[in-house]
Amino acid sequence: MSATILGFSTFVYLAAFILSLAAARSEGRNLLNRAVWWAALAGLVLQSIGMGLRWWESHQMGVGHAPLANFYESLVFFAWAVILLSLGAARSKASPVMPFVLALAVGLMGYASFAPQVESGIKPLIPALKSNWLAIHVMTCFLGYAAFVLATVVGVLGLRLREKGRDSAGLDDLFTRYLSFGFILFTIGIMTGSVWAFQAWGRYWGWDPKETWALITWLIYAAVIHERQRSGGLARRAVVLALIGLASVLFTYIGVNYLPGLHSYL
Amino acid sequence: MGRLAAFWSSLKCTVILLLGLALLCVAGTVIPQHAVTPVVGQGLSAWFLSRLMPTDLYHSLWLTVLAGLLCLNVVLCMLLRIRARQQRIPAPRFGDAAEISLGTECQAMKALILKTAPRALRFQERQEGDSILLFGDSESLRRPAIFGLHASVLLIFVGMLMSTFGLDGHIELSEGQTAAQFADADGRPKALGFSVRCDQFRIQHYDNGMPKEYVSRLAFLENGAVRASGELRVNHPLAYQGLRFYQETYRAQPAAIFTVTDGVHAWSIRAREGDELTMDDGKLRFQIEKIGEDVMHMGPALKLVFDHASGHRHLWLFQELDRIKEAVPDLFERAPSFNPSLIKPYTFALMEFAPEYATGIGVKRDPGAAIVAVGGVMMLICLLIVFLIPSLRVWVRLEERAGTTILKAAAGRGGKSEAFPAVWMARIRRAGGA
Repeated sequence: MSATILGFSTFVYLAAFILSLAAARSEGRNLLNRAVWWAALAGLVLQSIGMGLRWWESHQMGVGHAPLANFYESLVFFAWAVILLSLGAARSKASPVMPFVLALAVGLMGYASFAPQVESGIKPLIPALKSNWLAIHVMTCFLGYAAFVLATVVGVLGLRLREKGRDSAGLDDLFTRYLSFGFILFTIGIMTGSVWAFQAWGRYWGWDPKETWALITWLIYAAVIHERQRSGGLARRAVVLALIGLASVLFTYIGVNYLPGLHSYL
Repeated sequence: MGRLAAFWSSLKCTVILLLGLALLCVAGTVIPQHAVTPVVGQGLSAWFLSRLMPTDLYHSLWLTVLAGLLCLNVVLCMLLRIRARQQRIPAPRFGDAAEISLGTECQAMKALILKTAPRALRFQERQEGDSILLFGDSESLRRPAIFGLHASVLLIFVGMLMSTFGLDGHIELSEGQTAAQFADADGRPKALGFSVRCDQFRIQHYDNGMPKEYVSRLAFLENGAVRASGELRVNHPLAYQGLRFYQETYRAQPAAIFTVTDGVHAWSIRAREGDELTMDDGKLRFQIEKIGEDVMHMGPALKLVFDHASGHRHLWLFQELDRIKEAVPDLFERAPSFNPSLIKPYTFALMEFAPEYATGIGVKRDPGAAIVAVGGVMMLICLLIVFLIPSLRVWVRLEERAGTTILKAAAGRGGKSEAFPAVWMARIRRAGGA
C-alpha cells in the first residue's frame, strides 16, 4: 500500500514539474505559480502519508522502525526533505527553484522505485542500527543535504540574475537562509552521529569514509559561509564553492558507498 | 597591524585553511590509510619523516599543522573582534533618509531617544563636530555567540588532542572464561586492575535469519568476588572502574556433543575442533580434526583422527547418518570411514552440533570525549543564535541647526538596509514635538 502511494506521489511531482516549466516560460503569471506550489504540496502530503504507512507496515511486520534505514528509504526521505524546504521558503507561491527541485524529487523517487540495485523491501534493523539516534541522525543529515542542494541552486540562479544586472536581493537572502539552515542541521547530523558512534563503538570519530566526507562537506560549506561574509553578498566565488559543496554532498551520500566503511548500508 | 597579522586574521585565510583541511581529508579517503609505513630509520628525524607519510594522513603533521593554523586564525579573529567591538561604529547607512526637525534641544532629544528605544538595542555614541551619532545594535547576544562559536572549535580541537591520550583495547572471551588483561591497540597485554568474565554470549535472530541482537552477559570481579554484572549489547555499553566496555565482534568456535560406547560403558563428550582426547584408561586416543555444520552437504559432522596401532585412521561421524544410509544403502562398503563402528570395539554417535561462542569486547577510555561534547553543545547553541536570531542595527544622527534639532535615522539587518522601526520613530516624533 505504501509503495503505491509513494509511486503516486512521484507522478504528482512529475505533474508539478511540468506545470513549473510552463510557469517559468510565462513569467509573472501568479495563478500558474500558485498551481505549482499547491501541486507540489499535494505531492508532499501524499508522500508523507506513504512514508507514515511504510512505518506502520514495518510495525505490522514486527520489525517496526522509522523508514530511514536503507538506501531506498533515504532516497525517499531526501526527495521529501527537498520539497518540504522549497515549499517552506516559498510560502504559497512557487519560487524560481521549483523546476529544479521538482526534477530532483522525481529523479530521486524514480530511482528509488525503478533502479534494480535499490532494494525497496522493509527489512529488520541490524543490531548496529537499533538505536534511538538513527532517526534524528538520518533526518538532520538529509535535511542538511536538502538545504545545501537548495542553497546551491538558489546561489547559481541569483548569480545569473546579478550578472544580468537584475535585482538578486531576494535570492541572496534565500541563499543565506538555506545555507544557514543547512549548516545548522548538518552540524546537528554530524554531532548526533558522533554521539551514536560513541555509544556503539566507544569513539566519537573514527575517520570512516562517510564520516570523513561529511566533515569535508561541512568544511566546504563553512568556507562558503565565510566567503559570503567576506564578499558581503552573493559573489561568484561563494557560489562556485557552493557548487563544489554540492558535489561533496553527492559523494558523501552516494559515492562513499563504493568505499569500504561502516556506513555501507546507506 | 602588519600585513602578516592582517592576513592571518582574515576571512580569506579562514577560507583557504578550511579548503586545505577539506583537501587533506579527500586525500585521506583516496590514498589507502594505515598501510605499512616504510622504515626510514630511528630517532627524531625518522619520527618526523614518518609523520609526513601520506599513508596515515589523519595523524600526520600535515593535518596537525593545518589544524594549528586554523586555531591561530580563529584566535586572531576573536581578538580582533573584541577590539573592533570597543573601537568601531559601522559606517552609517543613511542613504536618502529624510531630515526631521524637532523642537527639543539636542542633548535632551538624545536622552529621549535612548529612553524610548527598544530594550534589545545596545548603544554607542560618537561626537562628530556639532552632531551626535548614536549607533545601536541588537547583537548583544549574537556577538558573544560568534565568539563562542569559534571558541567551541578550539575546545573541540583540545578535546580531540586529549582523546589521543585515551585507551583503546580489546578482549576476547569464550563463555565461562575470565580475563584480567586486555590487548591494547598494538596488541600488547595490559592489566585491567580487575577481572571480567563472560557468563554467556547469545545471538538473537529475526524470523528471516538476520541477526537481531548480540548479547554478552558479563561479570566484573575483584578478589574473586563479583562486584557488578550486566548485559552488554551493541549500542548499550557497560562502564566499570572508569573503563567502558562495548560489544564489538564475536567468533563462533565449532564444537559438538557426541557419545562413545564399547558395549559396556558409555561416554558423552563435548569437544571443540582441535581437541585431543584420551578415553577408556588410555586405550582410545583421538583428535577432533574438523567439526562442521554442513559437511559435504550432508549436515553436521565430525572428523576424528585416531592414533591406532594399525596405523593412522580417520572416521567421519554424521549426525544424520540414517538419512544418508537411506539414500546410499551400501554406504559403509563404499566409504568405510563413514561407519561409526569402524574402530572396534567402540561405536560413536554425533548428538548435536553446538558451536561455542567467543565474544569480542572493546575496552575504552577517552579523556577528551567530555570536552568535545561540551564544545559540540556550545557550537550548536551559538550556531542557533548566530543564524536564527536576526540582528537589528540603527543609526541616529542629531544635529543642532538654527535652534532646532535635525534628526536623521537609518536601520539595517544582516548587512542590508531596512525601514527604521515605525513605532519607535512615532514615539521620537511625539516626544520631540515634530
